[in-house]
Amino acid sequence: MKQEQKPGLTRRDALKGAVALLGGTITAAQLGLLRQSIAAVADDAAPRYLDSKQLETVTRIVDIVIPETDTPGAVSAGVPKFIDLLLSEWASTERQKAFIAGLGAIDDRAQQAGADSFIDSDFRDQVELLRSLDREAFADGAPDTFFRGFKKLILFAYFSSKPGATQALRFDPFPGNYEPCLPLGDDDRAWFWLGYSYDL
Amino acid sequence: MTSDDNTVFDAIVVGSGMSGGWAAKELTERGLKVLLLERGRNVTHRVDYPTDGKPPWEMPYGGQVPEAEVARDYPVQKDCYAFSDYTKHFFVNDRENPYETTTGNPFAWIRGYHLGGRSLTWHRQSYRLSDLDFEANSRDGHGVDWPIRYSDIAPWYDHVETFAGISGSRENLPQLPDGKFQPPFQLHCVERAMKKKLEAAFPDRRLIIGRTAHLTAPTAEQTALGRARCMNRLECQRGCRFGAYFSSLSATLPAANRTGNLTTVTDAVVDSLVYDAGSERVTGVQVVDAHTLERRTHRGRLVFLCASTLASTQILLNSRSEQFPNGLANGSGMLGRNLMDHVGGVRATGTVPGFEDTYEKGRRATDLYVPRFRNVDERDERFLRGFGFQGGAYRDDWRRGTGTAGIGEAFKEQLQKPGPWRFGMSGFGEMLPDARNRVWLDSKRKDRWGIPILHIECKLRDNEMAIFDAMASDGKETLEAAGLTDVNVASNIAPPGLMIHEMGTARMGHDPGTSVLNKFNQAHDVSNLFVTDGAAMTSSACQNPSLTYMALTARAAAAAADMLKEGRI
Ligand SMILES: Cc1cc2nc3c(=O)[nH]c(=O)nc-3n(C[C@H](O)[C@H](O)[C@H](O)COP(=O)(O)OP(=O)(O)OC[C@H]3O[C@@H](n4cnc5c(N)ncnc54)[C@H](O)[C@@H]3O)c2cc1C
Repeated sequence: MKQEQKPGLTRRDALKGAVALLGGTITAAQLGLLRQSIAAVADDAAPRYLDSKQLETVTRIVDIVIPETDTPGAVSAGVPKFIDLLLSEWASTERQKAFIAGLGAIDDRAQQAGADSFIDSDFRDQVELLRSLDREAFADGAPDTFFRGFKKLILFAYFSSKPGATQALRFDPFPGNYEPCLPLGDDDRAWFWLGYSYDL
Repeated sequence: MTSDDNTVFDAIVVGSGMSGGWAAKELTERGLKVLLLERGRNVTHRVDYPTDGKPPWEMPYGGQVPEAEVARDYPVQKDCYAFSDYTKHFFVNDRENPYETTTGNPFAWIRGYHLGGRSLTWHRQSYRLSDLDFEANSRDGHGVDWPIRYSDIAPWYDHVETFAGISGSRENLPQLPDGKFQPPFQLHCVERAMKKKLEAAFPDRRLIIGRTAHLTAPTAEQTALGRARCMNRLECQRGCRFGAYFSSLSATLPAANRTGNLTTVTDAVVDSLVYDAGSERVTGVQVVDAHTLERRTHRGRLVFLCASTLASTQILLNSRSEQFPNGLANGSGMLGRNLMDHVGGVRATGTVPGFEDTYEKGRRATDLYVPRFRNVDERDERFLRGFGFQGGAYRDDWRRGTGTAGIGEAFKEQLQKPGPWRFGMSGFGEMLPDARNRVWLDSKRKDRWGIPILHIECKLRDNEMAIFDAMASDGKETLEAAGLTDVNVASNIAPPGLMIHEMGTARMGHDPGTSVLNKFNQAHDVSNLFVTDGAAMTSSACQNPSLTYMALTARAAAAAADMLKEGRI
């Protein structure tokens, strides 16, 4: 597949996003991370389940939920493609439908605000929309929303990825001893543990 | 072995799980030639643990089983907390292994059909019963009296603990006797602080380290079997390449194999036992090949049924003859009755204030235990018997993000750090024996091996519900007394079966008129037949039961070997 046909963030989109998040300034190190992030999307093969616009939407959403910082973000951790894989091979038909409908509803919200779709709206508006969805999802007594489930999926996909577990968090495959009551220390990242099973 | 085998083994052991492994070991070590029949596939220790050590990014879906596959093949097994893509090969396919329940009374039959059975997937918690348990039925009149007391089984607890390797602390609690322990895992200082507060407020509520079948200081015998110290990975249910936790594959079967007296045949589904009316004995077992469906018999001088509670009872119910039209050794009519599990579904959690600067390293292979404190010294008017709690302290991790608002950089950075200290514990309550809780064979439906499927009718009744309520209120009170804040109790009654401590249905007792087995797990009606898995249990206590199955099995095997040598069976 040719480079041009590959879906995902364009460099310009990503820069636009990052600059907006950082309030207009960007450091060299952050730019480096951003490049990795873009590369991670661009190097992958075509999506399996989502169409390229849907993948672009997912990519933007996960990037806003878990951005690049001094550790990899969800995009460079491969979360968009992993979600696409889960949708194609793991998810039930009902979940697939609900996912597509949920993305559609996010586009509807963007349209109500005057944009053509979520991905076509201004980056600041995208962030604002996700903030609203998040607030609504976690308000007291809120019903189970699509965004709540989506966020659960994003967190699972990110923190169980290699960059998520080993860079954002600490991973200890062979602890050897159990050492209780250690001082938290300079490296204050939490340990990664998946649990016995993780209920998506 | 595909056709009838004319070898007469000294003993046939049915099932290679927790109890079958012990039967094989004890009988072969006493010089008996043993045939071990296992319905499932062979599993080679270490080699067949395909997910051992795999991080989620090396799993196809991060450890998640595809949803359509869950719905099709694992509608029951999926409810077990340990079921995932890491472990699904150690759980039965529900579609291929059907059973029925009475409408409105669900029963979760959680199973693993393969060499080693559920000894591969268990949680390793190992507690002795005490005379509070062995005398319970005679004291309050539910069920029949156990034909044994603690002093009968104590030396066998010593025996199985020493070989299996149980780590734990000595506590001098009459309701939870101490054992032959390897060094305990340590409490975290958060847990020590909780313990101090709790035990000051309620001296009878003790918070102790869990007793678990993990090696912390392997003996020479364990090392010789290739077993090593626990690495605190807490990925046990995938199988452990270190052999650090006790399973048939890490411990009892290698010990049995090295005697040279063991023949193991896998993919051998035992359909029924062959009974000879003339001698009033079983002469062998009927087997269906799991794949070819070919039928054959194997002959033995004695039979140990260790196929797990319900599977052993199913085999007996399916062994009909003129003498025993309602199932072999069922002169009492009690075969299939008095099914029990534990009462579950209460989880109490809370926040431990402070300790923000402390953390831990390693995933400790056991939690803590709050041994039974109700109806120990003083009589509680609300219910009979008691319950215990199992749980531990942990710092919230990234998973807390799924339940809280937030997106973006600050949210991410917050989730990268450990959250507050929390403590969570779950209740395990005793269930009374009740003849109405029972299983029988469906006369019309058969499984693919031609075996009539089991119908299970089991219900939690008034005493169980009173225990459930008490676990919820005591759970809250206990955590508050231990200094926790934001204490929350989630109580969603677990369907029977889901605590995976199903037991009873071929109970032990003094009287052949009211029980199936005698004090040596020997069928009252058939002298060379022994049932030593959970089916034998006369009451359920509230402790995790497998250690007791092991001790009963070892004790019965020693008795059976003696009887055989002395020509008494
Ligand atoms: C996730 C989980 C956690 C648990 N945690 C604990 C715990 O912490 N503490 C505790 O005490 N217990 C625990 N248990 C329960 C424990 O695993 C069982 O009590 C124990 O394994 C029962 O031993 P068993 O020998 O009766 O049966 P199993 O270990 O189930 O073995 C039975 C064997 O018989 C075979 N079999 C069945 N039918 C036939 C047949 N017709 N012909 C031939 N072979 C047959 C099966 O394939 C199997 O291999 C847990 C179980 C699970 C699944």
